[in-house]
Amino acid sequence: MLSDWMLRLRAVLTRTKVEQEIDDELRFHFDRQVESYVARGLEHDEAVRRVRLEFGGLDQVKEEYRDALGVRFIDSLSRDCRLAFRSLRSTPVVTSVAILSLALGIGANTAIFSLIDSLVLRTLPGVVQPEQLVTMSSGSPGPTEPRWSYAFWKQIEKRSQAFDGAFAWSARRFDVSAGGEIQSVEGVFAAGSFFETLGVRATIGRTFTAADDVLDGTNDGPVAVIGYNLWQRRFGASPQVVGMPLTINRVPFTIIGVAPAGFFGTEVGRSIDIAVPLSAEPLLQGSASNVRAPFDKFNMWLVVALRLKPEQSLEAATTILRDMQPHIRDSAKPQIPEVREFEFIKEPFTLAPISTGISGLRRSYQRPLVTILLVVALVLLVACANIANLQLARARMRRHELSVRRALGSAPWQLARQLLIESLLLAAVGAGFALVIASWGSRTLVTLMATQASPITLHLPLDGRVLGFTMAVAIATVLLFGVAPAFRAASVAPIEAIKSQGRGMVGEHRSQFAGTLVVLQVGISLVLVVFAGLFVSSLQRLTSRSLGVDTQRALHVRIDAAQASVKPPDRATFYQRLVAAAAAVPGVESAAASDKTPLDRGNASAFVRVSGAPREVASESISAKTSYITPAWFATYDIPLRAGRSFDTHDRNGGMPVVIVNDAFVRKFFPAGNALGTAVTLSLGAREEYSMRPRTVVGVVGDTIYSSLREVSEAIVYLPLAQYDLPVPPFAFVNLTVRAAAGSPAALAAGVKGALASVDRNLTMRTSTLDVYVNDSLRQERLLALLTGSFAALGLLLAGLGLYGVTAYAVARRRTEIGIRMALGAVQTTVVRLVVSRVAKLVGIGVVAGTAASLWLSRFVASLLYGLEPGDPTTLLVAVVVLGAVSMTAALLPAMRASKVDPAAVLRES
Amino acid sequence: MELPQGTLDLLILKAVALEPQHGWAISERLHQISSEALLIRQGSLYPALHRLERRGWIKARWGTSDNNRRAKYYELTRHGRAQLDAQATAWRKLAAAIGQVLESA
Repeated sequence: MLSDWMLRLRAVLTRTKVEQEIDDELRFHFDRQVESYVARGLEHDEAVRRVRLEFGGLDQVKEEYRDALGVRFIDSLSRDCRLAFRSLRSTPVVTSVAILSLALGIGANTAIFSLIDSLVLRTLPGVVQPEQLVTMSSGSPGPTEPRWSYAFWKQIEKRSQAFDGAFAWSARRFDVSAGGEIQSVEGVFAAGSFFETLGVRATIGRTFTAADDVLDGTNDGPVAVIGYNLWQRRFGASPQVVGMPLTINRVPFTIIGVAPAGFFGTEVGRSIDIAVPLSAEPLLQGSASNVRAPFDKFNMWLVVALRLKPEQSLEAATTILRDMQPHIRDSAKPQIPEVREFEFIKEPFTLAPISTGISGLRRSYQRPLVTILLVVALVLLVACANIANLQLARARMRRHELSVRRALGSAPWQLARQLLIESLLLAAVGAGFALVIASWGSRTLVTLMATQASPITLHLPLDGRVLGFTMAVAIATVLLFGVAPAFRAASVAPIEAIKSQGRGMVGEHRSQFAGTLVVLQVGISLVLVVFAGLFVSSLQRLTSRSLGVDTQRALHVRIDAAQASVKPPDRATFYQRLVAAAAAVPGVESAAASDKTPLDRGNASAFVRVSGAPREVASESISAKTSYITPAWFATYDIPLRAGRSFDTHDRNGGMPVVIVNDAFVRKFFPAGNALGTAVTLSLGAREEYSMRPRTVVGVVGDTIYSSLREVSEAIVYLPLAQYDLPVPPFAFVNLTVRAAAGSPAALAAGVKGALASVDRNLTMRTSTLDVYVNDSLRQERLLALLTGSFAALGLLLAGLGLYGVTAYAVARRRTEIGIRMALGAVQTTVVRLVVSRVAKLVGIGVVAGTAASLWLSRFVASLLYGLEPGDPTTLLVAVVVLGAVSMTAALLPAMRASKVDPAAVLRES
Repeated sequence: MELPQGTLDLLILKAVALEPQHGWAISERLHQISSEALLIRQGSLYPALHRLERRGWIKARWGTSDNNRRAKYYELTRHGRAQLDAQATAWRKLAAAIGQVLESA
């Protein structure tokens, strides 16, 4: 009841005032009663005496009064708090260790949780009713959201009134420099309906609408909405920003509004610094425009999403879409003469909710983060076991005091409450520090996840959800480490008070309980060490894996030629000019261009038919990866030539069509090894008419990585760029690689960029060394190894400390017994064996339990491992040895000390 | 005469039903109305008053007494009046029933 608590609260907060009021009220009563007796004829003194008798002790009345006021409960609570504080302060080292381990444990859990919350759980911020948003795919939704062409989007847009709107977008990075050094920001090409359908209003100015998304321009010219952060950063939050010019990719735009704070669009992990309408895409992408080639099979670039009507079910919307499907297919079908009947949206449409947005970051980090959350939860458990032991020891030291209080009439729950409050206080202080650690930790994690090429913008607020999680974890820890010791200690018998140094049953219970905790700690630590071992050796295997290329001396330049003054069909020749320019730079040994680089997460493949072999059904078993390269490519990457020759300048259009294949290709298609000189036909689709002209294999090279360090060697077929003959113009992005004659390739960056810019000033370039490239591609694995490794070390340290504490305590308690044994002739080794054997038994049980647990748990992380199985016996063995060594050290130290006991001294003491 | 369990609350509610009263007046009033049969001890009166206040049946405010002293006055709340009615009815029923049983025996 509200009035109840209000009164209690008032009673506690305005303590003296309430006391005064009680006093006043009773005094008034007292006086009136005296007056009334005097009025009836009693002497004043006599009246006072009688009233006093009636009152039966003013203080007693007050106490009962206070009780009724509900002050006493809170009163004794605050007394318990003060007592707990004093008790904790009296053992500063132990308390600090407990608080530190709790802060680390809870902090790590909170940090990981806040990351998972932002990345996986949270619905899109700033968006109205995100649960109504869905994305479209043809067939069952895959791991990534499908991309669609501009023509397809136009068909959906036309029919969007069947829903509460539709929108499409494609994330991009834009250069906002007015010239000179690139200033890269994150942005998005978005349909005119983007902001309206999401329900996002501009903070100042306006957002763009369908009226701004018109091809060939509108009255206002090209317009852009900028993000809140860019507005703060670049324009100092000036309200005059609306109408100001902004240069995007060297094209002038007009700013029409600022998106609200906290809005990052629909892709979690990215941000929107700039949003421009789809119609502006041709301006920015120049000859590489996707909008200008709407029917191109290769231009699948837009994510298309719908907003369902409030009463519209997913099924109903799906049905509507499937009815439209034949019309959409006919109107948006790729119209490439060579690929007449491309299998376009053959599968029925399906819809998938995107209330939490879409995120590539989520795909790659969800599993690792959940794994790390499990690991840090386990570390926290180890820490809890330690603190439970500490609390138990603390209660044990106060056994005498507790039993006296029992004998004086305290109920067991009152004693337990006192001890529980101590635990709560520990957890509360720990959780306070944990929040500091968490907010630093989660930010640091994000920087570890990001790379130069793919920055991450993740909003990590310390809000109610995160605070709630921290509080829940803190309370859970108290339940784990506080409750059992509190009630165990509170059950102390009053009679204990009489026995000054009694060794009752409580002691035996205690050591059993402590034993259970040791088993738990050892088991959990083993799991932690196994996890760390698995991830560290996965990383080790990946980094030591041969890439098949030399990364030491290669510099990689990724070039965007969309704005270059070259017609798309002439790009192949243009790229060869770039290569020639780069090769002329002093210090460059060789230079080459290609559409793919090793580790580039691209995927181009074709079906392969060996001339003379029977036609096979197009499937994975006859597919090979493709890559267009310029002649010096193999030399630049130092890929060994196994047989035949490399490409040369004669391999151009008009010459004999040629290919070079790698070892894996030979193994896959020429088991007999007779690849050289044979003709192969590559085709882009299952049908005969998708085939390209036959090409002769003129060389065989060594295997290399194609797109990921994790894959097995793929069959790759290399084609000369000079013989480019696909039905679409060559790619607008090209990878140029130069090999340094000596020394670090990074030193060549400026020279190469200058040489390339002298060919065409409008190239956008990004350079990195291949080493960085390789390192970046392993950041997820590195993060996992780093975190599981550190937390396993922490867990191991905590478990070691715990074991040491338990053993030391047990030894101290058995000092007399040990002394007597030694007096009776036991030698030092016997004593050590006595102590260690008990610990060894517990550790043994823990190791067995931990092994079982890690075998079971590691199955769930199988997909994150590389080159070893979840139950890898070597890892397990190493973990057991490590754990055994730590445990034995922790047990031996106190055991050695025990064996140095002077029997005479002990006997004198007792 | 000792009060049966639980009846003190009812009597207090009744005593403050007409007008706000301070603690002493309540005990006096109950003493007089019951023809001096009931004596309410301070040790039970004040805790009971605060129990009722916490339940929201009566509320307290400081006022000035007839002899010009600061005194704490208690008055019935709307909720308290409903309680008084309900409890009084229940008590009468109980008393009548017990009376009937005693008569017949």
